[in-house]
Amino acid sequence: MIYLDNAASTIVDESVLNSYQKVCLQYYANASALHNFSNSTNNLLNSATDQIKDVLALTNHQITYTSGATEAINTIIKGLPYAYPNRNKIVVTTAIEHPSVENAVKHLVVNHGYEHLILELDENGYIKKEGLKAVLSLKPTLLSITHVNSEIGLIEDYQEIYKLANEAGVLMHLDIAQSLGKIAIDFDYVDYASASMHKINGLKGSGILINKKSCTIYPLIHGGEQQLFRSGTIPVDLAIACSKAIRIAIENDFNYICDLSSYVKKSLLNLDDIIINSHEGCSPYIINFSISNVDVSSVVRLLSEKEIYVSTKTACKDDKALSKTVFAMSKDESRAINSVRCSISKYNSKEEIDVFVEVLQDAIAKVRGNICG
Amino acid sequence: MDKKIILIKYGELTLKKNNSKLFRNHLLSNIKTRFKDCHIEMNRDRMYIHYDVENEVSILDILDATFGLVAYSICEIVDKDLDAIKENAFKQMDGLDKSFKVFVKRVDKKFPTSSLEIARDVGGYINQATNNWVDVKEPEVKLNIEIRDKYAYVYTSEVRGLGGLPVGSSGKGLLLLSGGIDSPVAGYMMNKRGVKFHAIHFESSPYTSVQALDKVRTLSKKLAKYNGDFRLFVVNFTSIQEALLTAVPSSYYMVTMRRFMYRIAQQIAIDNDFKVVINGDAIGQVASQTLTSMATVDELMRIPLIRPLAVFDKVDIKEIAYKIDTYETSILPFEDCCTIFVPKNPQINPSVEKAIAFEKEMDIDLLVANAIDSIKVEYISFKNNEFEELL
Repeated sequence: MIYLDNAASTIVDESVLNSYQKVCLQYYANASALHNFSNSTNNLLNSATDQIKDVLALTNHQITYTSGATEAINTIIKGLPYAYPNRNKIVVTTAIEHPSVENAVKHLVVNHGYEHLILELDENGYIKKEGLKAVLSLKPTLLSITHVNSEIGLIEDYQEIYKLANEAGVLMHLDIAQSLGKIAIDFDYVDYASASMHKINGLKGSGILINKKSCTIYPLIHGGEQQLFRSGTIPVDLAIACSKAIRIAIENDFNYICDLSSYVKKSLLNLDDIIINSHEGCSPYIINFSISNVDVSSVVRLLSEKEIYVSTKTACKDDKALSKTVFAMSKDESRAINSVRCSISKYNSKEEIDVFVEVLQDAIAKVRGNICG
Repeated sequence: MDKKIILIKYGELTLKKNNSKLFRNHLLSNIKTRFKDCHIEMNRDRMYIHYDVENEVSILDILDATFGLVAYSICEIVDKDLDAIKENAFKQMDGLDKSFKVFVKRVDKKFPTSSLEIARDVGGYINQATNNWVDVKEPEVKLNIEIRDKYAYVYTSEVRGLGGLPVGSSGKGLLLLSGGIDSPVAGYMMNKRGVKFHAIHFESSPYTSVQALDKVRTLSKKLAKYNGDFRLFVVNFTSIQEALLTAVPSSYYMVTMRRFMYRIAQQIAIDNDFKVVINGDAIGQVASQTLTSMATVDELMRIPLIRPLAVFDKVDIKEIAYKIDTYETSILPFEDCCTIFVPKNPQINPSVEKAIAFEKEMDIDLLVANAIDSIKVEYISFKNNEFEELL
């Protein structure tokens, strides 16, 4: 099997799994009880949290363990009417946000009378600064953007955007699902952030919400208030796995990924009719490309038969789904429909890429042949 | 990998004529035990730490917590070539918009250009090529160039160190660590003068909680950053406290309790060859810290009892506690052995004679021996995390 869909989910790192198992078996006390066993469990939890703060250089932030980025995002956005009742009922995003952002904002629009403003992007996919300034002058409550876009890997200049938002007194949420542990983040320029562990060889059902202490949150889940912004018994086992996964991700060899990424791009460009959508300003972990004059969903199906897994938006011919990001950038519908995302990890090798490109070439030829014949 | 060098100036250490080497060795080992990935060169008035740039944050963190260094500078390593030196000096000086002066130290006397010529040449170049200007009397920036055997070092900034003496160079002591705000600061102050401490903590389990002891462990870890690894002696003090409740009137409970603490601490210190006992008393802060109260304790001391905070105001102590990051932990609200069984009206001016008279009823030696038997020793290290394997 050649797994090139690491932006969707990843294999669990063995040492993360080992820690998870050990904690399940050795530190199973409820971290909020009074006895000594609970106390040591709680100490373990605190060490895990401290380690995250340490490796991410969080100086003035709080960490909440959640079930994933989706819950973190829902907590931040759906809590706005309660956390900031006196601010303008406006939320700003781009057109290429994760559905959890889109739909949480939709909830505010439908049920709380909020207005959802969408920022314009330039031909490279970056937020247009003039448009942003104009929107910020309306003093929305929240601006929600993505650090690394999941479809093409575009790295947004969140620091510059944060400065503008901060000057205008607007809070900013940064979706770091594709960047945590991969692309450096300066959390001084982040009010809220959300991430999932299964993107960095951690466990599914685990994620974190980070907020600056000065930026409050209204909890989505009420109960025993075990965490400041989230009730429910704290899954210490998941929290430890989370801390370890983040540490390991940060210690990863970034140069190896950069090297492998350019190798993928170079190899793909040897084939005909391929356009690389992930330009220079994109994360090396994601290589998005379009194949012209071919039915991409059939190509991907052929790859899948050979146990090579990449991702595409065109899962089915009748489905009109296209890569929103590629479309927003290129305004070219067929390029957006015929796009493929290859996302790599430290576990991939150049040999795998060679096989992938070879099989891809055959698959394209086969699909074209069948259509012609 | 990119290499850099940190140049360390010792200050007071160079004054210690005969044993200056001893002090320097303490400093070297204090740095080396906490940061292994470096190579250290040392001479009478300087120390050079060679390290990889990627470790810069960790090494600076450690230097900022090291006593015995007055100042340090991060130097760039440059080829021994005048143009290379100029280029690097330009890189460091460009855009500063400040007055400067060039200082040259030519250790390698074989280098063809003299110190004066180097200074004139580089100074002239920087004066012209950047927006900085020469001021030989009161320069805002000192551009230092050292021509050494293999390379030249160029640096401009100087960071102030903690000063004081290298921890351990003045010997060892035993710190009474309660978990409050003062005692960690007292330990830190002793570190400043080169005393390394081990710590003793009195717990009154089951009246005090595990959290109270954990708090002391956390404080210890924070102190280990300055003090280095040390031992924490945890004494179970409950039976002595219970005995005191029946033996002495409540107004003398505090005085006699403290006398027991110091008997135990003194014994531990003597057994382990610690030269001094240290506490966090500040004159007049509470009833047990009046001069007469202090005298009741000093009466039984056979080795020095030092109170580094004796003349400090609370605000000053708090300020240091903030600086060494112990304040937030110290104010966690867990009861310690001193806050349980506290009498409403403790004696502010206790007399030694009365205290001795009340204690006559008790089997002092047995109580002390039992308490010492109850001691559990923990090893405190600022690096070692018991959960490291899991994280």
